[in-house]
Amino acid sequence: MSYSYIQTKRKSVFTSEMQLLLLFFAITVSMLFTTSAFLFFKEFHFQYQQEEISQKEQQLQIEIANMEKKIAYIQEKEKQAEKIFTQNNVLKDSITNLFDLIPERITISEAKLLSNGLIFYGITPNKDVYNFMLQAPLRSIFHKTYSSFYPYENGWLRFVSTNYIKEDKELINAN
Amino acid sequence: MLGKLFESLYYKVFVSIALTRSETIVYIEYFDRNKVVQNFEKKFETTVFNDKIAQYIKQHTNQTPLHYIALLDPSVSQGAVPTCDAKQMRYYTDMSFNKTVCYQNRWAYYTSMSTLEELQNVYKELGVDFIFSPFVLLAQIYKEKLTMQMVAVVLVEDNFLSLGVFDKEELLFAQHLDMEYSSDNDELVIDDEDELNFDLDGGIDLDEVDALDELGDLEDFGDIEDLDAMEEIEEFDEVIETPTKDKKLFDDMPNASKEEGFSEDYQRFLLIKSAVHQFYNDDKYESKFIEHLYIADSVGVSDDLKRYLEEEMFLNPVIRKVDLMQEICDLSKGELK
Repeated sequence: MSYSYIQTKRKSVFTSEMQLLLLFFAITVSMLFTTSAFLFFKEFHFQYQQEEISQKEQQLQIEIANMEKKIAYIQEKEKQAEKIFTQNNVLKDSITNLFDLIPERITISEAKLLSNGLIFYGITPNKDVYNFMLQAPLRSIFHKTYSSFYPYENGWLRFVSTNYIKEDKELINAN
Repeated sequence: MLGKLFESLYYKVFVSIALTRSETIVYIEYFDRNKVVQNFEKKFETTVFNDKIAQYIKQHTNQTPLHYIALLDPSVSQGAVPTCDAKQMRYYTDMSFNKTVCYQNRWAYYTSMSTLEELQNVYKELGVDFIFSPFVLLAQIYKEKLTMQMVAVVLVEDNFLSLGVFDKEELLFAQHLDMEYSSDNDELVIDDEDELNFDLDGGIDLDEVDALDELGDLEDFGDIEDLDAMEEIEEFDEVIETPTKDKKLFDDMPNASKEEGFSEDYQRFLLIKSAVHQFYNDDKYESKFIEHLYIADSVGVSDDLKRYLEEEMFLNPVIRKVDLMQEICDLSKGELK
């Protein structure tokens, strides 16, 4: 109950000086909080990036390892291919040479290339032509040569010539 | 919430200012969590607000934003009326230029609006928060006594007397009495007495006025109806006898200061007496016999006042010392609750 003739405004501790002081405090505190929040965010972001980078690094390392494997595989394949290419060349040359060996009077109907040998099917006018003109050079190339004949029409003979080269082991054993 | 927290960090400073005839009294109280931490009181030998007073108050009020400055209304033209109804107030006094405040819906106290404006203007530099009426102080000091039947309470200030007559908390009569006015304008006092049908001739001297208030046979006051029937001539006769008695009392005083105190107390006695007479005789007021008289003394009255009241008015006054400044301070605290 008020007994005074005049009414006073309830005094506040928030005077203009205090308001200014609080404003400065608020600004300072908010700046501190903002900086702190920014640093927290940056640190978190940095950690996230670090984690991401390390994951990428691991992934890349895995990929590198895979690629190295692939490279090794490809290199191996390349070596194999080169080897095959060489072998094919050798074989090609061999076949060319073999076909060069075949005289004009003998006709080859079929030739089978084996890993360690060669089988010829063909027609010869007679055994002698075969023995002199074909078997002789074959024997100089192959280690084993087997020939078999059976008659063909017109008095000619069909022949089957089986020629083998001794494997390295067999050669070693033989030596 | 935040405000409360900050408030708890500050003291509250309550400043009470009261004017006497020659001084300005400033009382300052530092208040913290329902207890008084420090208090200061300083008297300035001037009744005009000046820089010295302002500086003294400011050095305390600058300590905290929670400072409250209270004034005791020094207006001569203040008083109290036994009603809160604006229409009924007119019956007692002209309220056109007065500010009234109702006290607990029982009675109202008033002062002139110009005084309030002037006070606020004079103390503009400090900012006045509260202006209290002495009648409120009186009601607060004697809160418990006012519940009694027919009790008169008086607040004795250096320059004023505030008198109220209450019957079970209802105000019957109130008067604000000016010591200075009374002493400097004896003629006017006499005129007032005249109005009260004491039938005194103009030009009578103070002693005679003093004697007039004796009125003798105060035991007759018990019978209210007889008051109006008192013989005016008898009163006058009594007046003539009284100065001798007063002179005897006066002669007993040992030195000049006592003489001054004596004179002031006698003056106070006269003022109380005239007010009581007005209460008994004025038709505006419901006259009942005053059974108790309580005096709140803020200046240090002598036993003479009590003696006069006992011997001449047959009252048994109870005088209680009060610290006026402290009471104003307490009222200020009450305003904030």
